[in-house]
Amino acid sequence: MNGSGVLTIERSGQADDQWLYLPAYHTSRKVPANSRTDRYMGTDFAFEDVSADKIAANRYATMGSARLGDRTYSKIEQTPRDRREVSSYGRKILFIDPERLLIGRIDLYDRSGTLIKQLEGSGAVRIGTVWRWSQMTMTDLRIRHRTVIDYSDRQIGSGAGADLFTVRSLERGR
Amino acid sequence: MPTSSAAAIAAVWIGSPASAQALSVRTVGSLTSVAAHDGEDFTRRRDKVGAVVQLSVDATLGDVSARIALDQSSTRDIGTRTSAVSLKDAWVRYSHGSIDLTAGRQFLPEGRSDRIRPLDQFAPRDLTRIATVDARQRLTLPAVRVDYAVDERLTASAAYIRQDQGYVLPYAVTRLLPPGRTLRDSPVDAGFVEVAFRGDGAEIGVNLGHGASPLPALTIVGAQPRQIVVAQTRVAISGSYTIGGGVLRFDLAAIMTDDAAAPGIERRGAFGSLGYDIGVWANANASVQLVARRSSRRSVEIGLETLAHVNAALQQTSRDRQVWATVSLRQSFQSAHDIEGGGLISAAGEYAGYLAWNWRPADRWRFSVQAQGGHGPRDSLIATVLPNFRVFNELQFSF
Repeated sequence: MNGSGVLTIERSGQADDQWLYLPAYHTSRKVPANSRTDRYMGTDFAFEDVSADKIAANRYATMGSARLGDRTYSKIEQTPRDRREVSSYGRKILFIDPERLLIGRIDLYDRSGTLIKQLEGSGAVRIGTVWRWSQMTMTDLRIRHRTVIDYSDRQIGSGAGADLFTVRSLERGR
Repeated sequence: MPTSSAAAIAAVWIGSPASAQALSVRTVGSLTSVAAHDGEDFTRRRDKVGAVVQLSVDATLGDVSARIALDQSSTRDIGTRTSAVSLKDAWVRYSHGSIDLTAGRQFLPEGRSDRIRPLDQFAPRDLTRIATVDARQRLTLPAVRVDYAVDERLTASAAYIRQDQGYVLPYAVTRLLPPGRTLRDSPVDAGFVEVAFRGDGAEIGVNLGHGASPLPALTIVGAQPRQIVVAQTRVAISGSYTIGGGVLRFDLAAIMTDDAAAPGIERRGAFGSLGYDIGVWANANASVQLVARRSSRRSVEIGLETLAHVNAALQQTSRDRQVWATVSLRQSFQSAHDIEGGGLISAAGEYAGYLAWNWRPADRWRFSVQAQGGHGPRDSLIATVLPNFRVFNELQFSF
C-alpha cells in the first residue's frame, strides 16, 4: 500500500474521474467515481471520505453548539438533496470551530440514521494565517476500528500548480 | 488552480511521497491458510490444506525506489505450483524528470479488462493458485522498462523483456502435456512499445508487442509430440472512458502467431473486450463484460488433425468464433462483510459461476469462503481452467 494513491477530478455537471495508483503495477487504473462507498485500500476511510462534498448537492441546517474539549463548536447538519445519490451516509453532523475555521469532528450516519463512523481532528497547528489539524482519526464504530492520518511538513500557499493534479503526478507521487 | 472543466481536485497518497529524501522502508507480510475441495481430479489432490507466507519490502530513497516480494507455499496446488520460495517482484526504479526506468522482475500490466483479458502476452497468471483475490495469480517477468512522459497527458513506454514464464496451467492440463521446450526452460527475448494518452475522462493506448505466446503448443518430433514455444506478435488498442458514473473499458488486439511449427494454432486472430464497471447503489458495485475472439488458421495436413485440435484447445482458440459474457456484483455490509457473485456464459455452451463471502472479523484478519464451478465442452476455456466444482476457505493474517 505504501506509495499508492488516489486522484479524484470532480467535474461540474459531469461524472467525476477517479484514478487509483498501485506502485507494484506502475500504472493507474480508472475506477468508477460512484464506487465512492468502497473502503479506501482497507482503511476506515471510504473513497467518498477522501474527496470533497459538493456543496450544492447537500442541504445544511444549524443545530446550535457543543463543547469538544475546551472549545465550543457550531453544529451543522448536512443531508444530501438527492436521496438517490450513491453514498453510505444519509446524514452528517459537522462540528465547526468558528474561530479557527476547523472541523473538529464529523459524525457520519448511515441511511437508516445509525451513527456508523466518526472523523476527529487533533493537534491544531497554525500555518501562516490558517489552522489545520496535524492528525485525523477515522473510527468505524461498527467494527470498533480506526485509521489515523498524521500530517507532516505541510505547506499552504507554496505554489502547487494544476500539473500536480494529473495522473502522471499521481504515479510519480509528487 | 482548477481548470475550466474541473470543479475540484484532490490527490491522496498513502505513505511517504516519492520525493522524500530520507530512506523509507516498509515490510509487509501475510500468512494465508487455504483449505480446498475440488469436485473432480482437477488438481493433484482433491482435498488440500496448506499455507502461504507472503513478504514484501518497499524502499524509497530520493529518486530511487525498490520492491522485493516473495512468497512461500507449503504444498503444491495451493499458492504457487511448488513448495519452493517464489520471487514475485524484485525491481528497482529510478524516476527523474520525465523518465521512469524500472529494471528487474516486475509485473507488466496490459490492457484494461479484468475478467477475460485479450492482452495477456506479458501478464500471465498462475491458474493453479487458489486464492479469492485474482491479483495473487499475476506473474512477473524480468524486464527493463522505460516510461517517458512527453507531457502530462501523453506517455511513451518501451520494455525489453526476458519472457521466462507463461500461464501456469492446472494439473489437469499439465499432466497430459509431453516434455519439451517451455518458456521456463528456454526464455525468449521479447518487448513492447506503447503510447498512451490520458485526459478529459478518457484514456487510450496503442501497443505493439512481440515475444512468445504465453500458452503452450505441441509439435511432432520423431513421431512423438513435444512441447514448443511459439512466437507471437500483437498490436492492440485499449482504453477507458468515464460515462454515466461508471467506467467503460475496452481492449482490441490483433494477434499474429508463428503457426509454421505447430499445426492448428491460429495464424491470425482478433480478440476484443468491452466492459462496464459501475457503483449501482450504496456499497455495491457491478461489472459486465462482453468478449469476442475470431481466429483464422491454415488447413491441417492429414494425420495431424488430433494434434491440431489439442493445440487449438491449449491456445484457447478451439473455435474460429468465440463469444463470452460475464457479470458480477459485489455488496458490502456493515463494513466488515461483503458478498460477491458472478457468472459467465458463452456461445459455445460454457457456463460458470462463483459466490464468495469475505469477513474481516478483526484488524489484520480476513476470512473468505468461495464456491465456484463451471461446465463446458472439453476443449473450452472453462473446462481447461476451472474444475466442475470447488469450494475453498481462506484465512489470512497480515503482519
